[in-house]
Amino acid sequence: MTWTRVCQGAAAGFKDVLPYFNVVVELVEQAGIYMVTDHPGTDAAFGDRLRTGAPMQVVFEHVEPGFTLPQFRFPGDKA
Amino acid sequence: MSWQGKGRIAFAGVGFSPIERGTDKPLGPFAEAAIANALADCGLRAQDIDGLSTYPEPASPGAARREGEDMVGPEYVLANCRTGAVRWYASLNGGMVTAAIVEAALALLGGACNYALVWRAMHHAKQGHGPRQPAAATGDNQFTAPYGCASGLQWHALAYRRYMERYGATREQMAALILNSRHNATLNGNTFFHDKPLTFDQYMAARMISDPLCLLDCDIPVQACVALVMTTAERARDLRQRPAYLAGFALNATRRPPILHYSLFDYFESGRATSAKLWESAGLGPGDMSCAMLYDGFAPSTMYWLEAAGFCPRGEAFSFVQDGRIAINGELPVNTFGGSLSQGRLHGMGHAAEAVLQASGRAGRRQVHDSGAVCVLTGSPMFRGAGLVVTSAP
Repeated sequence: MTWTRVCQGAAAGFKDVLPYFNVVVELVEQAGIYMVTDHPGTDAAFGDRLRTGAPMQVVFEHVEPGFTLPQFRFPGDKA
Repeated sequence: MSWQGKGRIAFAGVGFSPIERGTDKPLGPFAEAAIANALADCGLRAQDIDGLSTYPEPASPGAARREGEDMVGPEYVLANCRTGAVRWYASLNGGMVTAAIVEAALALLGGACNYALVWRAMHHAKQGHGPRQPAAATGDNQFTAPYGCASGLQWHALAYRRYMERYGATREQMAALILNSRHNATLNGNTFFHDKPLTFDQYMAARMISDPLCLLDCDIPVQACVALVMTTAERARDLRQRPAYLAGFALNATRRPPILHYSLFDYFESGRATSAKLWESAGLGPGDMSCAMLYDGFAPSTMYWLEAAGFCPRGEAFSFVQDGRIAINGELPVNTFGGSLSQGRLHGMGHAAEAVLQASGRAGRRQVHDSGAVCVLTGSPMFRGAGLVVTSAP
């Protein structure tokens, strides 16, 4: 796992949600497959728990009808 | 096997434009100034130039591509710089301007031209560069852009975090590299920060851009151009300055992994492979280098190159740069000109120009002792990585 907290220089469409975390996770189901997630950068408790090897689990964010994004959260956290 | 062109191609002239930020001036005249200065440096006239080579990409993805405004390609130079009957020209993309230098060397070696101009012009407008990414994500981007993780900034930050976690590297250690570059920039009039010294406390207090990358870990965008005149070793002997010679080169040809092509492993692997090719091409190794110009569009890249090129073992670059080891009078001077961090974002052209100045003994107050061979490694190894070895003797 690795992560960053983006404070400036947001990607297209993300300027209004700064700061935000980007986290890269490796799937336990298949080593070498990496996925990205994002999370509000104001959630300090989330940031404090980010460590290499920390387990996360997939949740599905329904962004809009027909558009669902897999996201990764710590077990027990709400989506 | 060493490159058969070793020592047969020379760098004869170096020219800088003014280095500015947030200007409403067009870019073209900056290129004209750099080219005129490079010609004056070596005593050639524009009519003598019969070859052109550049890396013309606009400073930001998504920027407009107006010749002389956002970019300066061969078209602008042909129209505005009174060059001679140009017989050969090239616009290179992969490998940044380092690849354009290699291309010019090969053209000279093959007799396609006698005197080649190579330049890199960078635009930095007051109003910015337009959208950084398209509104809709396609291809690999569809797996990253919906999370706001779609540019080099975030990928570099993610790899840097991984490095810090794995090797215990700290921002306090990174400060040594940043402060070394800023100090060197104050010894160089051709830098944006030539009159702005920096302290450790200022570095540590710099605001985060994409944590752990702070503002001062990112190069400073500028509007500027640097030009080089290249020719054959024989012709260079008749020109004004002591030449520097191209001993060897390398271009990154590592397979780009899908989707997250900026993982730390990719930096390591592409840097290692590119450096190995460079040493083979030049017939020299890291121990032969008197100083090193290592790309620092984002500062961690310099650390990756230090390890990849064999200047120190993997995981030890942050220790290596401490205690003055990379200072101008140190064991391995690094980015003696100030780097992109403090000179300005010139996409590797500042690194190449400094290698020429050091190898030809013309670096003034920054001159390193016994500068027989200088290596240039540009790109952030996976992205447009490339290298040169520049020597003082053929």
